[in-house]
Amino acid sequence: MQEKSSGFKVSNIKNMFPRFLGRIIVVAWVLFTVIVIGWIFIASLSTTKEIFTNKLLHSGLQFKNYIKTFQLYNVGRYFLNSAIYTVTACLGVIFVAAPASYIMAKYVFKGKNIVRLAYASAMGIPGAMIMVPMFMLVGKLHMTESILTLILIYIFTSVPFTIFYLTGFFTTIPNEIQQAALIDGCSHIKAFWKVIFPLAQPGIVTVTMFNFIGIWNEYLWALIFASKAEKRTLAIGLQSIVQSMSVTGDYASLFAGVIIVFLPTFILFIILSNKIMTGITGGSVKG
Amino acid sequence: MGNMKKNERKMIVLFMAPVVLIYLIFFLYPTIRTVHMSFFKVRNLASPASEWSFVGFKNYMDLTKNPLFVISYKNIMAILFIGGLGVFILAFFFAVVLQKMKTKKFFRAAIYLPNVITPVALVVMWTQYVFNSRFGFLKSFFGALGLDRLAAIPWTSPDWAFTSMMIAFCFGSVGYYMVIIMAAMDKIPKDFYECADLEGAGSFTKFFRITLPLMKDILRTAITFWCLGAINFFLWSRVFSGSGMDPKTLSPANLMFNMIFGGSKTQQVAEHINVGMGAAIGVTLCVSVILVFVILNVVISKEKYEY
Repeated sequence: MQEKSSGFKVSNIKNMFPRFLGRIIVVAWVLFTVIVIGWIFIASLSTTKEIFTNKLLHSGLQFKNYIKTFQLYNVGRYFLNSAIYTVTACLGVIFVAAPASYIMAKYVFKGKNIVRLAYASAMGIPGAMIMVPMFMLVGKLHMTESILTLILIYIFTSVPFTIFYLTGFFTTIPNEIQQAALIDGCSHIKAFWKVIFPLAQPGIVTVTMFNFIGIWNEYLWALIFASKAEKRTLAIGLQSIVQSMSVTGDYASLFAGVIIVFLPTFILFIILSNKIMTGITGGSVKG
Repeated sequence: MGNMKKNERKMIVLFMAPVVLIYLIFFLYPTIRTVHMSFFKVRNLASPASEWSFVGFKNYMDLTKNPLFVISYKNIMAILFIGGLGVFILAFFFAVVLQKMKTKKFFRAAIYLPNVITPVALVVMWTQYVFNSRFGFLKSFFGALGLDRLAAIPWTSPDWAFTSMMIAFCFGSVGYYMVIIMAAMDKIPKDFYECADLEGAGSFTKFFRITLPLMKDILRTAITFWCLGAINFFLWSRVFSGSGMDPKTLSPANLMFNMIFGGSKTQQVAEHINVGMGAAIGVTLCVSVILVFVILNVVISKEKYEY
Protein backbone atom coordinates (compact mmCIF):
# COMPACT_ATOMS: atom_id res chain seq x y z
CA MET A 1 0.00 0.00 0.00
CA GLN A 2 2.80 2.30 0.98
CA GLU A 3 4.48 1.91 -2.36
CA LYS A 4 1.55 3.26 -4.29
CA SER A 5 1.22 6.44 -2.28
CA SER A 6 4.91 7.18 -2.35
CA GLY A 7 4.85 7.55 -6.11
CA PHE A 8 7.51 6.52 -8.56
CA LYS A 9 10.81 5.81 -6.90
CA VAL A 10 13.94 4.03 -7.96
CA SER A 11 13.33 1.36 -5.34
CA ASN A 12 9.99 0.62 -6.97
CA ILE A 13 11.63 -0.21 -10.26
CA LYS A 14 14.08 -2.40 -8.44
CA ASN A 15 11.19 -4.21 -6.77
CA MET A 16 9.08 -4.37 -9.89
CA PHE A 17 11.63 -6.11 -12.04
CA PRO A 18 12.04 -9.38 -10.09
CA ARG A 19 8.30 -9.53 -9.55
CA PHE A 20 7.66 -9.08 -13.25
CA LEU A 21 10.24 -11.70 -14.12
CA GLY A 22 8.71 -14.10 -11.61
CA ARG A 23 5.30 -13.68 -13.16
CA ILE A 24 6.64 -14.29 -16.64
CA ILE A 25 8.19 -17.56 -15.50
CA VAL A 26 4.94 -18.66 -13.84
CA VAL A 27 2.94 -17.82 -16.95
CA ALA A 28 5.45 -19.59 -19.22
CA TRP A 29 5.34 -22.68 -17.00
CA VAL A 30 1.55 -22.85 -17.14
CA LEU A 31 1.48 -22.02 -20.83
CA PHE A 32 3.76 -24.97 -21.49
CA THR A 33 1.36 -27.28 -19.61
CA VAL A 34 -1.60 -25.93 -21.53
CA ILE A 35 0.15 -26.25 -24.90
CA VAL A 36 1.22 -29.84 -24.24
CA ILE A 37 -2.24 -30.97 -23.16
CA GLY A 38 -3.93 -28.91 -25.88
CA TRP A 39 -1.63 -30.26 -28.58
CA ILE A 40 -2.22 -33.84 -27.50
CA PHE A 41 -5.96 -33.24 -27.51
CA ILE A 42 -5.85 -31.83 -31.04
CA ALA A 43 -3.48 -34.58 -32.17
CA SER A 44 -5.92 -37.17 -30.83
CA LEU A 45 -8.44 -35.82 -33.35
CA SER A 46 -6.02 -35.81 -36.29
CA THR A 47 -4.50 -38.57 -38.40
CA THR A 48 -1.05 -39.96 -37.68
CA LYS A 49 0.15 -38.62 -41.02
CA GLU A 50 -1.00 -35.13 -40.06
CA ILE A 51 0.87 -35.43 -36.76
CA PHE A 52 4.10 -36.20 -38.59
CA THR A 53 3.67 -33.50 -41.25
CA ASN A 54 2.63 -30.85 -38.71
CA LYS A 55 -0.78 -30.32 -40.33
CA LEU A 56 -3.03 -31.16 -37.38
CA LEU A 57 -6.77 -31.30 -38.10
CA HIS A 58 -6.35 -30.76 -41.86
CA SER A 59 -8.83 -33.49 -42.69
CA GLY A 60 -11.33 -32.44 -40.04
CA LEU A 61 -12.07 -34.10 -36.73
CA GLN A 62 -11.04 -37.75 -36.68
CA PHE A 63 -13.29 -39.23 -34.01
CA LYS A 64 -12.40 -42.61 -35.40
CA ASN A 65 -9.23 -42.53 -33.28
CA TYR A 66 -11.38 -42.75 -30.20
CA ILE A 67 -13.62 -45.42 -31.68
CA LYS A 68 -10.48 -47.36 -32.52
CA THR A 69 -9.11 -47.19 -29.00
CA PHE A 70 -12.37 -48.63 -27.76
CA GLN A 71 -12.74 -51.34 -30.40
CA LEU A 72 -9.15 -52.30 -31.09
CA TYR A 73 -7.43 -51.52 -27.82
CA ASN A 74 -10.29 -52.36 -25.48
CA VAL A 75 -10.11 -49.09 -23.56
CA GLY A 76 -13.76 -49.39 -22.51
CA ARG A 77 -12.98 -52.57 -20.61
CA TYR A 78 -9.96 -50.98 -18.88
CA PHE A 79 -12.04 -47.97 -17.98
CA LEU A 80 -14.73 -50.12 -16.42
CA ASN A 81 -12.11 -52.14 -14.52
CA SER A 82 -10.47 -49.01 -13.12
CA ALA A 83 -13.89 -47.72 -12.08
CA ILE A 84 -14.76 -50.98 -10.31
CA TYR A 85 -11.43 -51.22 -8.47
CA THR A 86 -11.42 -47.57 -7.48
CA VAL A 87 -15.03 -47.09 -6.37
CA THR A 88 -15.18 -50.34 -4.39
CA ALA A 89 -11.87 -49.72 -2.67
CA CYS A 90 -12.77 -46.11 -1.84
CA LEU A 91 -15.98 -47.25 -0.16
CA GLY A 92 -14.27 -50.19 1.54
CA VAL A 93 -11.49 -48.18 3.09
CA ILE A 94 -13.94 -45.71 4.64
CA PHE A 95 -15.94 -48.57 6.09
CA VAL A 96 -12.79 -49.97 7.71
CA ALA A 97 -10.87 -46.80 8.60
CA ALA A 98 -13.59 -44.37 9.71
CA PRO A 99 -14.64 -46.31 12.84
CA ALA A 100 -11.01 -46.91 13.80
CA SER A 101 -10.15 -43.24 13.29
CA TYR A 102 -13.03 -42.30 15.57
CA ILE A 103 -11.70 -44.56 18.33
CA MET A 104 -8.18 -43.22 17.80
CA ALA A 105 -9.49 -39.67 18.09
CA LYS A 106 -11.79 -40.05 21.08
CA TYR A 107 -10.82 -43.01 23.28
CA VAL A 108 -7.92 -44.10 25.41
CA PHE A 109 -7.22 -47.82 25.39
CA LYS A 110 -4.33 -50.17 25.95
CA GLY A 111 -1.98 -50.29 23.00
CA LYS A 112 -3.29 -47.11 21.43
CA ASN A 113 0.20 -45.68 21.07
CA ILE A 114 1.45 -48.85 19.44
CA VAL A 115 -1.34 -48.71 16.88
CA ARG A 116 -0.65 -45.06 16.18
CA LEU A 117 3.08 -45.66 15.75
CA ALA A 118 2.44 -48.76 13.66
CA TYR A 119 0.24 -46.88 11.22
CA ALA A 120 2.52 -43.84 11.12
CA SER A 121 5.38 -46.14 10.13
CA ALA A 122 3.16 -48.01 7.66
CA MET A 123 3.06 -44.84 5.57
CA GLY A 124 6.82 -45.17 5.14
CA ILE A 125 7.03 -48.89 4.32
CA PRO A 126 8.01 -49.23 0.65
CA GLY A 127 5.60 -51.22 -1.51
CA ALA A 128 8.66 -53.19 -2.57
CA MET A 129 8.92 -54.54 0.95
CA ILE A 130 5.40 -55.92 0.83
CA MET A 131 4.98 -57.21 -2.69
CA VAL A 132 6.86 -60.52 -2.58
CA PRO A 133 5.23 -62.10 0.50
CA MET A 134 1.86 -60.71 -0.62
CA PHE A 135 2.26 -62.30 -4.03
CA MET A 136 3.12 -65.63 -2.42
CA LEU A 137 0.25 -65.38 0.06
CA VAL A 138 -2.26 -64.54 -2.65
CA GLY A 139 -0.94 -67.49 -4.67
CA LYS A 140 -1.42 -69.83 -1.72
CA LEU A 141 -4.99 -68.62 -1.28
CA HIS A 142 -5.60 -69.18 -5.02
CA MET A 143 -6.72 -65.59 -5.39
CA THR A 144 -4.34 -64.46 -8.13
CA GLU A 145 -7.17 -64.50 -10.65
CA SER A 146 -9.75 -62.73 -8.52
CA ILE A 147 -10.48 -59.03 -8.92
CA LEU A 148 -11.16 -59.00 -5.18
CA THR A 149 -7.41 -59.29 -4.58
CA LEU A 150 -6.59 -55.91 -6.08
CA ILE A 151 -9.62 -54.31 -4.40
CA LEU A 152 -8.50 -55.59 -1.00
CA ILE A 153 -4.93 -54.47 -1.61
CA TYR A 154 -6.12 -50.99 -2.52
CA ILE A 155 -8.19 -50.88 0.66
CA PHE A 156 -5.20 -51.99 2.75
CA THR A 157 -2.73 -49.58 1.15
CA SER A 158 -5.15 -46.68 1.67
CA VAL A 159 -5.81 -47.39 5.36
CA PRO A 160 -2.76 -45.59 6.87
CA PHE A 161 -3.37 -42.26 5.13
CA THR A 162 -7.13 -42.45 5.68
CA ILE A 163 -6.72 -43.09 9.41
CA PHE A 164 -4.15 -40.31 9.65
CA TYR A 165 -6.50 -37.88 7.93
CA LEU A 166 -9.76 -38.85 9.60
CA THR A 167 -8.34 -39.06 13.13
CA GLY A 168 -7.54 -35.37 12.86
CA PHE A 169 -11.04 -34.75 11.60
CA PHE A 170 -12.89 -36.71 14.29
CA THR A 171 -11.12 -34.83 17.09
CA THR A 172 -12.99 -31.71 15.94
CA ILE A 173 -16.40 -33.31 16.52
CA PRO A 174 -17.57 -32.44 20.05
CA ASN A 175 -18.12 -35.26 22.56
CA GLU A 176 -21.53 -33.89 23.50
CA ILE A 177 -22.99 -35.16 20.26
CA GLN A 178 -22.24 -38.75 21.19
CA GLN A 179 -23.52 -38.16 24.73
CA ALA A 180 -26.82 -36.88 23.38
CA ALA A 181 -27.22 -39.91 21.12
CA LEU A 182 -26.45 -42.28 24.00
CA ILE A 183 -29.02 -40.59 26.21
CA ASP A 184 -31.54 -41.06 23.40
CA GLY A 185 -30.99 -44.78 23.87
CA CYS A 186 -28.58 -45.53 21.03
CA SER A 187 -25.87 -48.12 21.64
CA HIS A 188 -22.31 -46.87 21.20
CA ILE A 189 -21.97 -48.51 17.80
CA LYS A 190 -25.30 -47.22 16.59
CA ALA A 191 -24.48 -43.73 17.85
CA PHE A 192 -21.37 -43.75 15.69
CA TRP A 193 -23.00 -44.85 12.45
CA LYS A 194 -26.24 -42.91 12.87
CA VAL A 195 -25.03 -39.64 14.37
CA ILE A 196 -21.27 -39.14 14.27
CA PHE A 197 -20.46 -40.72 10.92
CA PRO A 198 -22.86 -38.44 8.98
CA LEU A 199 -21.32 -35.42 10.71
CA ALA A 200 -17.90 -36.48 9.42
CA GLN A 201 -19.00 -36.24 5.78
CA PRO A 202 -16.76 -33.27 4.86
CA GLY A 203 -13.64 -35.07 6.07
CA ILE A 204 -14.71 -38.32 4.44
CA VAL A 205 -15.34 -36.59 1.12
CA THR A 206 -11.91 -34.97 1.17
CA VAL A 207 -10.02 -38.13 2.06
CA THR A 208 -12.02 -40.12 -0.52
CA MET A 209 -11.03 -37.63 -3.17
CA PHE A 210 -7.36 -38.30 -2.44
CA ASN A 211 -7.91 -42.04 -2.23
CA PHE A 212 -9.76 -41.92 -5.55
CA ILE A 213 -6.95 -40.11 -7.37
CA GLY A 214 -4.32 -42.33 -5.76
CA ILE A 215 -6.04 -45.61 -6.58
CA TRP A 216 -7.13 -44.56 -10.07
CA ASN A 217 -3.51 -43.71 -10.88
CA GLU A 218 -1.93 -46.68 -9.06
CA TYR A 219 0.60 -48.73 -10.99
CA LEU A 220 2.77 -51.19 -9.01
CA TRP A 221 0.01 -53.40 -7.60
CA ALA A 222 -1.98 -53.27 -10.83
CA LEU A 223 1.12 -54.45 -12.68
CA ILE A 224 1.35 -57.47 -10.37
CA PHE A 225 -2.30 -58.42 -9.99
CA ALA A 226 -4.03 -57.01 -13.08
CA SER A 227 -1.73 -57.75 -15.98
CA LYS A 228 -4.19 -60.06 -17.80
CA ALA A 229 -5.99 -58.21 -20.60
CA GLU A 230 -9.48 -58.53 -19.17
CA LYS A 231 -8.48 -57.29 -15.71
CA ARG A 232 -6.17 -54.41 -16.66
CA THR A 233 -6.61 -50.94 -15.25
CA LEU A 234 -6.49 -47.89 -17.50
CA ALA A 235 -2.87 -47.14 -16.53
CA ILE A 236 -1.70 -50.66 -17.42
CA GLY A 237 -3.92 -50.63 -20.50
CA LEU A 238 -2.39 -47.39 -21.72
CA GLN A 239 1.04 -48.92 -21.32
CA SER A 240 0.01 -51.86 -23.48
CA ILE A 241 -1.23 -49.41 -26.12
CA VAL A 242 2.20 -47.74 -26.05
CA GLN A 243 3.84 -51.11 -26.55
CA SER A 244 1.65 -52.05 -29.48
CA MET A 245 2.10 -48.55 -30.88
CA SER A 246 5.82 -49.15 -31.20
CA VAL A 247 4.87 -51.79 -33.77
CA THR A 248 1.93 -50.09 -35.53
CA GLY A 249 3.10 -46.46 -35.27
CA ASP A 250 -0.50 -45.40 -34.62
CA TYR A 251 0.23 -42.16 -32.77
CA ALA A 252 -3.26 -40.71 -33.23
CA SER A 253 -4.93 -43.55 -31.33
CA LEU A 254 -2.23 -43.44 -28.66
CA PHE A 255 -2.97 -39.78 -28.00
CA ALA A 256 -6.70 -40.55 -27.95
CA GLY A 257 -5.89 -43.15 -25.28
CA VAL A 258 -3.95 -40.56 -23.28
CA ILE A 259 -6.93 -38.20 -23.36
CA ILE A 260 -9.32 -40.94 -22.21
CA VAL A 261 -7.02 -41.81 -19.29
CA PHE A 262 -6.49 -38.15 -18.48
CA LEU A 263 -10.12 -36.96 -18.53
CA PRO A 264 -11.69 -38.52 -15.37
CA THR A 265 -9.19 -37.15 -12.88
CA PHE A 266 -8.96 -33.90 -14.84
CA ILE A 267 -12.72 -33.34 -14.62
CA LEU A 268 -12.68 -34.27 -10.95
CA PHE A 269 -9.90 -31.76 -10.45
CA ILE A 270 -11.72 -28.94 -12.26
CA ILE A 271 -14.80 -29.46 -10.10
CA LEU A 272 -12.98 -29.99 -6.83
CA SER A 273 -9.70 -28.12 -7.20
CA ASN A 274 -10.34 -25.80 -4.25
CA LYS A 275 -11.26 -28.69 -2.01
CA ILE A 276 -8.18 -30.59 -3.12
CA MET A 277 -5.90 -27.60 -2.49
CA THR A 278 -7.15 -27.00 1.02
CA GLY A 279 -7.26 -30.76 1.64
CA ILE A 280 -3.57 -31.34 0.88
CA THR A 281 -2.56 -28.84 3.47
CA GLY A 282 -5.22 -29.94 5.95
CA GLY A 283 -3.39 -33.24 6.21
CA SER A 284 0.23 -32.24 6.02
CA VAL A 285 0.16 -28.97 7.91
CA LYS A 286 -1.40 -30.58 10.92
CA GLY A 287 0.91 -33.57 10.74
CA MET B 1 -23.29 -47.61 33.98
CA GLY B 2 -21.52 -50.96 33.96
CA ASN B 3 -23.50 -51.90 30.91
CA MET B 4 -22.46 -48.66 29.31
CA LYS B 5 -18.76 -49.43 29.86
CA LYS B 6 -19.22 -52.90 28.44
CA ASN B 7 -20.96 -51.43 25.45
CA GLU B 8 -18.13 -48.98 24.95
CA ARG B 9 -15.49 -51.71 25.22
CA LYS B 10 -17.31 -53.74 22.62
CA MET B 11 -17.25 -50.83 20.21
CA ILE B 12 -13.53 -50.21 20.70
CA VAL B 13 -12.68 -53.84 20.03
CA LEU B 14 -15.03 -54.11 17.07
CA PHE B 15 -13.88 -50.88 15.47
CA MET B 16 -10.15 -51.43 16.01
CA ALA B 17 -9.95 -55.15 15.15
CA PRO B 18 -10.04 -54.74 11.34
CA VAL B 19 -7.26 -52.18 11.15
CA VAL B 20 -5.10 -54.08 13.62
CA LEU B 21 -5.55 -57.23 11.53
CA ILE B 22 -4.78 -55.34 8.33
CA TYR B 23 -1.61 -54.02 9.86
CA LEU B 24 -0.49 -57.45 11.00
CA ILE B 25 -1.31 -59.22 7.73
CA PHE B 26 -0.55 -56.57 5.17
CA PHE B 27 2.23 -54.49 6.71
CA LEU B 28 4.00 -56.33 9.52
CA TYR B 29 4.01 -59.91 8.22
CA PRO B 30 5.32 -59.08 4.71
CA THR B 31 8.00 -56.78 6.12
CA ILE B 32 9.34 -59.45 8.43
CA ARG B 33 9.01 -62.09 5.74
CA THR B 34 10.96 -59.98 3.23
CA VAL B 35 13.78 -59.42 5.71
CA HIS B 36 13.81 -63.15 6.42
CA MET B 37 13.77 -64.03 2.72
CA SER B 38 16.69 -61.72 2.00
CA PHE B 39 19.00 -64.18 3.77
CA PHE B 40 17.99 -67.09 1.56
CA LYS B 41 18.49 -68.20 -1.98
CA VAL B 42 14.98 -68.50 -3.37
CA ARG B 43 14.75 -69.92 -6.89
CA ASN B 44 11.37 -68.50 -7.81
CA LEU B 45 8.14 -67.17 -6.38
CA ALA B 46 6.50 -70.60 -6.31
CA SER B 47 9.21 -72.35 -4.32
CA PRO B 48 8.03 -73.29 -0.81
CA ALA B 49 10.01 -72.17 2.21
CA SER B 50 11.36 -75.70 2.68
CA GLU B 51 13.32 -75.38 -0.58
CA TRP B 52 15.01 -72.11 0.32
CA SER B 53 18.67 -72.37 1.17
CA PHE B 54 20.21 -70.12 3.78
CA VAL B 55 23.04 -67.98 2.42
CA GLY B 56 23.54 -65.42 5.18
CA PHE B 57 24.57 -62.00 3.90
CA LYS B 58 25.55 -63.34 0.48
CA ASN B 59 22.63 -61.66 -1.28
CA TYR B 60 23.71 -58.30 0.10
CA MET B 61 27.37 -58.91 -0.75
CA ASP B 62 26.44 -59.91 -4.29
CA LEU B 63 24.31 -56.80 -4.65
CA THR B 64 27.22 -54.48 -3.92
CA LYS B 65 29.08 -56.17 -6.77
CA ASN B 66 26.09 -55.93 -9.12
CA PRO B 67 26.67 -52.97 -11.48
CA LEU B 68 22.93 -52.57 -12.11
CA PHE B 69 22.27 -52.23 -8.38
CA VAL B 70 24.98 -49.59 -8.03
CA ILE B 71 23.66 -47.65 -11.04
CA SER B 72 20.10 -47.84 -9.74
CA TYR B 73 21.12 -46.32 -6.40
CA LYS B 74 23.15 -43.63 -8.14
CA ASN B 75 20.06 -42.81 -10.17
CA ILE B 76 17.72 -42.37 -7.22
CA MET B 77 20.35 -40.39 -5.33
CA ALA B 78 20.57 -38.01 -8.28
CA ILE B 79 16.79 -37.68 -8.22
CA LEU B 80 16.73 -37.21 -4.46
CA PHE B 81 19.44 -34.52 -4.31
CA ILE B 82 19.64 -32.81 -7.70
CA GLY B 83 15.96 -33.21 -8.59
CA GLY B 84 14.96 -32.39 -5.02
CA LEU B 85 16.99 -29.18 -5.01
CA GLY B 86 15.38 -28.11 -8.28
CA VAL B 87 11.87 -28.99 -7.15
CA PHE B 88 12.11 -27.21 -3.80
CA ILE B 89 13.74 -24.09 -5.24
CA LEU B 90 11.05 -23.85 -7.91
CA ALA B 91 8.27 -24.64 -5.43
CA PHE B 92 9.45 -21.86 -3.12
CA PHE B 93 9.90 -19.49 -6.00
CA PHE B 94 6.39 -20.09 -7.34
CA ALA B 95 4.90 -19.92 -3.86
CA VAL B 96 6.46 -16.49 -3.28
CA VAL B 97 5.49 -15.17 -6.72
CA LEU B 98 1.91 -16.49 -6.56
CA GLN B 99 1.37 -15.07 -3.08
CA LYS B 100 1.18 -11.60 -4.59
CA MET B 101 -0.82 -12.43 -7.72
CA LYS B 102 -4.53 -11.76 -8.07
CA THR B 103 -5.01 -14.84 -10.23
CA LYS B 104 -3.33 -16.95 -7.55
CA LYS B 105 -6.00 -19.65 -7.43
CA PHE B 106 -5.94 -20.33 -11.15
CA PHE B 107 -2.16 -20.56 -11.41
CA ARG B 108 -1.89 -22.64 -8.27
CA ALA B 109 -4.35 -25.15 -9.71
CA ALA B 110 -2.65 -25.14 -13.13
CA ILE B 111 0.80 -25.79 -11.66
CA TYR B 112 -0.63 -28.52 -9.42
CA LEU B 113 -2.50 -30.22 -12.29
CA PRO B 114 0.17 -32.82 -13.28
CA ASN B 115 -0.27 -34.37 -9.83
CA VAL B 116 -3.76 -35.61 -10.62
CA ILE B 117 -2.90 -37.06 -14.04
CA THR B 118 -2.21 -40.79 -14.25
CA PRO B 119 1.60 -40.95 -14.29
CA VAL B 120 1.59 -43.40 -17.20
CA ALA B 121 -0.28 -40.78 -19.25
CA LEU B 122 2.22 -38.13 -18.14
CA VAL B 123 5.11 -40.31 -19.27
CA VAL B 124 3.46 -40.81 -22.66
CA MET B 125 2.87 -37.07 -23.00
CA TRP B 126 6.55 -36.39 -22.38
CA THR B 127 8.16 -39.22 -24.29
CA GLN B 128 5.82 -39.32 -27.26
CA TYR B 129 5.21 -35.60 -27.66
CA VAL B 130 7.44 -33.18 -25.73
CA PHE B 131 10.67 -35.15 -26.27
CA ASN B 132 9.72 -36.56 -29.68
CA SER B 133 12.58 -36.11 -32.11
CA ARG B 134 10.33 -35.73 -35.16
CA PHE B 135 7.35 -33.59 -34.17
CA GLY B 136 8.12 -32.93 -30.49
CA PHE B 137 7.44 -29.74 -28.60
CA LEU B 138 11.06 -29.04 -27.73
CA LYS B 139 12.19 -29.63 -31.29
CA SER B 140 9.57 -27.26 -32.74
CA PHE B 141 10.07 -24.69 -29.99
CA PHE B 142 13.85 -24.46 -30.24
CA GLY B 143 13.63 -24.84 -34.02
CA ALA B 144 11.31 -21.83 -34.23
CA LEU B 145 13.73 -19.79 -32.13
CA GLY B 146 16.56 -20.77 -34.45
CA LEU B 147 18.39 -22.62 -31.67
CA ASP B 148 19.30 -25.54 -33.88
CA ARG B 149 21.69 -27.18 -31.47
CA LEU B 150 19.07 -27.31 -28.72
CA ALA B 151 16.47 -28.45 -31.22
CA ALA B 152 18.71 -31.35 -32.22
CA ILE B 153 19.06 -32.80 -28.71
CA PRO B 154 17.96 -36.45 -28.86
CA TRP B 155 16.04 -36.38 -25.57
CA THR B 156 14.95 -40.00 -25.60
CA SER B 157 18.33 -41.42 -26.63
CA PRO B 158 20.23 -43.44 -24.00
CA ASP B 159 22.61 -40.55 -23.27
CA TRP B 160 19.79 -38.19 -22.47
CA ALA B 161 17.15 -40.57 -21.09
CA PHE B 162 17.98 -40.00 -17.43
CA THR B 163 18.12 -36.21 -17.69
CA SER B 164 14.87 -36.19 -19.66
CA MET B 165 13.17 -38.45 -17.13
CA MET B 166 14.29 -36.30 -14.23
CA ILE B 167 13.11 -33.09 -15.91
CA ALA B 168 9.71 -34.61 -16.66
CA PHE B 169 9.31 -36.11 -13.19
CA CYS B 170 10.34 -32.94 -11.39
CA PHE B 171 8.17 -30.75 -13.59
CA GLY B 172 5.12 -32.61 -12.37
CA SER B 173 6.18 -32.65 -8.72
CA VAL B 174 6.74 -28.92 -8.25
CA GLY B 175 3.03 -28.11 -7.88
CA TYR B 176 2.50 -30.43 -4.93
CA TYR B 177 5.31 -28.94 -2.85
CA MET B 178 4.33 -25.44 -3.94
CA VAL B 179 0.82 -25.93 -2.52
CA ILE B 180 2.19 -27.20 0.79
CA ILE B 181 4.64 -24.30 1.02
CA MET B 182 1.97 -21.73 0.14
CA ALA B 183 -0.32 -23.00 2.88
CA ALA B 184 2.52 -22.88 5.38
CA MET B 185 3.33 -19.31 4.37
CA ASP B 186 -0.31 -18.30 4.78
CA LYS B 187 -0.18 -19.40 8.40
CA ILE B 188 2.64 -17.02 9.32
CA PRO B 189 1.12 -13.88 10.85
CA LYS B 190 1.47 -10.78 8.66
CA ASP B 191 2.61 -8.55 11.55
CA PHE B 192 5.91 -10.45 11.70
CA TYR B 193 6.73 -9.10 8.30
CA GLU B 194 5.46 -5.65 9.18
CA CYS B 195 7.74 -5.59 12.21
CA ALA B 196 10.65 -6.71 10.05
CA ASP B 197 9.82 -3.97 7.54
CA LEU B 198 9.95 -1.37 10.29
CA GLU B 199 13.35 -2.67 11.32
CA GLY B 200 14.44 -2.26 7.72
CA ALA B 201 14.88 -5.95 6.86
CA GLY B 202 15.19 -6.82 3.16
CA SER B 203 13.31 -9.55 1.31
CA PHE B 204 16.14 -12.04 1.73
CA THR B 205 16.48 -11.42 5.45
CA LYS B 206 12.72 -11.79 5.87
CA PHE B 207 12.72 -15.05 3.92
CA PHE B 208 15.62 -16.65 5.76
CA ARG B 209 14.91 -15.21 9.22
CA ILE B 210 11.12 -15.42 9.37
CA THR B 211 9.61 -17.57 6.61
CA LEU B 212 12.01 -20.51 6.66
CA PRO B 213 12.34 -20.98 10.45
CA LEU B 214 8.59 -20.80 10.99
CA MET B 215 7.97 -23.38 8.27
CA LYS B 216 10.40 -25.90 9.66
CA ASP B 217 7.90 -28.59 10.65
CA ILE B 218 6.05 -28.51 7.37
CA LEU B 219 9.29 -28.36 5.46
CA ARG B 220 10.53 -31.46 7.23
CA THR B 221 7.33 -33.31 6.31
CA ALA B 222 7.60 -32.12 2.71
CA ILE B 223 11.24 -33.18 2.39
CA THR B 224 10.38 -36.55 3.94
CA PHE B 225 7.69 -37.05 1.28
CA TRP B 226 10.13 -36.14 -1.45
CA CYS B 227 12.74 -38.61 -0.17
CA LEU B 228 10.14 -41.37 0.13
CA GLY B 229 9.12 -40.69 -3.46
CA ALA B 230 12.72 -40.87 -4.66
CA ILE B 231 13.47 -44.07 -2.73
CA ASN B 232 10.33 -45.79 -4.00
CA PHE B 233 10.89 -44.51 -7.54
CA PHE B 234 9.36 -47.17 -9.76
CA LEU B 235 6.76 -46.19 -12.32
CA TRP B 236 8.80 -43.60 -14.22
CA SER B 237 11.79 -45.87 -14.25
CA ARG B 238 9.72 -48.66 -15.72
CA VAL B 239 7.59 -46.78 -18.22
CA PHE B 240 9.95 -44.04 -19.40
CA SER B 241 12.39 -46.14 -21.36
CA GLY B 242 9.67 -48.31 -22.86
CA SER B 243 11.73 -51.48 -22.53
CA GLY B 244 10.96 -51.69 -18.81
CA MET B 245 14.57 -51.98 -17.76
CA ASP B 246 17.05 -49.60 -19.24
CA PRO B 247 20.10 -49.20 -16.95
CA LYS B 248 20.06 -45.46 -17.68
CA THR B 249 16.72 -44.96 -15.98
CA LEU B 250 16.82 -47.97 -13.65
CA SER B 251 15.72 -47.59 -10.02
CA PRO B 252 16.25 -50.12 -7.20
CA ALA B 253 12.52 -50.88 -6.91
CA ASN B 254 12.39 -51.56 -10.64
CA LEU B 255 15.50 -53.76 -10.51
CA MET B 256 13.91 -55.66 -7.64
CA PHE B 257 10.71 -56.13 -9.62
CA ASN B 258 12.70 -57.58 -12.50
CA MET B 259 14.67 -59.91 -10.26
CA ILE B 260 11.46 -61.29 -8.81
CA PHE B 261 9.09 -61.42 -11.74
CA GLY B 262 11.71 -61.66 -14.49
CA GLY B 263 12.69 -58.89 -16.87
CA SER B 264 10.81 -58.80 -20.12
CA LYS B 265 13.65 -58.14 -22.52
CA THR B 266 16.78 -58.57 -20.49
CA GLN B 267 17.77 -62.22 -20.53
CA GLN B 268 20.82 -61.31 -18.52
CA VAL B 269 18.56 -60.76 -15.53
CA ALA B 270 16.02 -63.43 -16.34
CA GLU B 271 18.75 -66.05 -15.95
CA HIS B 272 19.66 -64.71 -12.59
CA ILE B 273 16.16 -64.65 -11.24
CA ASN B 274 16.70 -64.61 -7.51
CA VAL B 275 13.82 -63.73 -5.25
CA GLY B 276 16.07 -63.62 -2.18
CA MET B 277 18.28 -60.99 -3.74
CA GLY B 278 15.21 -59.04 -4.78
CA ALA B 279 14.06 -59.13 -1.17
CA ALA B 280 17.48 -57.83 -0.14
CA ILE B 281 16.97 -54.80 -2.42
CA GLY B 282 13.61 -54.23 -0.69
CA VAL B 283 15.37 -54.29 2.67
CA THR B 284 17.96 -51.74 1.51
CA LEU B 285 15.06 -49.46 0.47
CA CYS B 286 13.44 -49.87 3.87
CA VAL B 287 16.72 -49.06 5.61
CA SER B 288 17.08 -46.00 3.37
CA VAL B 289 13.65 -44.79 4.50
CA ILE B 290 14.59 -45.20 8.16
CA LEU B 291 17.89 -43.36 7.54
CA VAL B 292 16.02 -40.48 5.92
CA PHE B 293 13.69 -40.20 8.93
CA VAL B 294 16.58 -40.19 11.38
CA ILE B 295 18.74 -37.76 9.41
CA LEU B 296 15.90 -35.31 8.78
CA ASN B 297 14.89 -35.33 12.43
CA VAL B 298 18.44 -34.56 13.48
CA VAL B 299 19.16 -31.95 10.79
CA ILE B 300 15.84 -30.15 11.05
CA SER B 301 15.39 -30.08 14.80
CA LYS B 302 12.02 -30.33 16.47
CA GLU B 303 12.03 -27.17 18.62
CA LYS B 304 8.71 -25.41 18.23
CA TYR B 305 8.06 -21.75 17.75
CA GLU B 306 4.81 -20.57 19.23
CA TYR B 307 2.88 -18.22 17.03
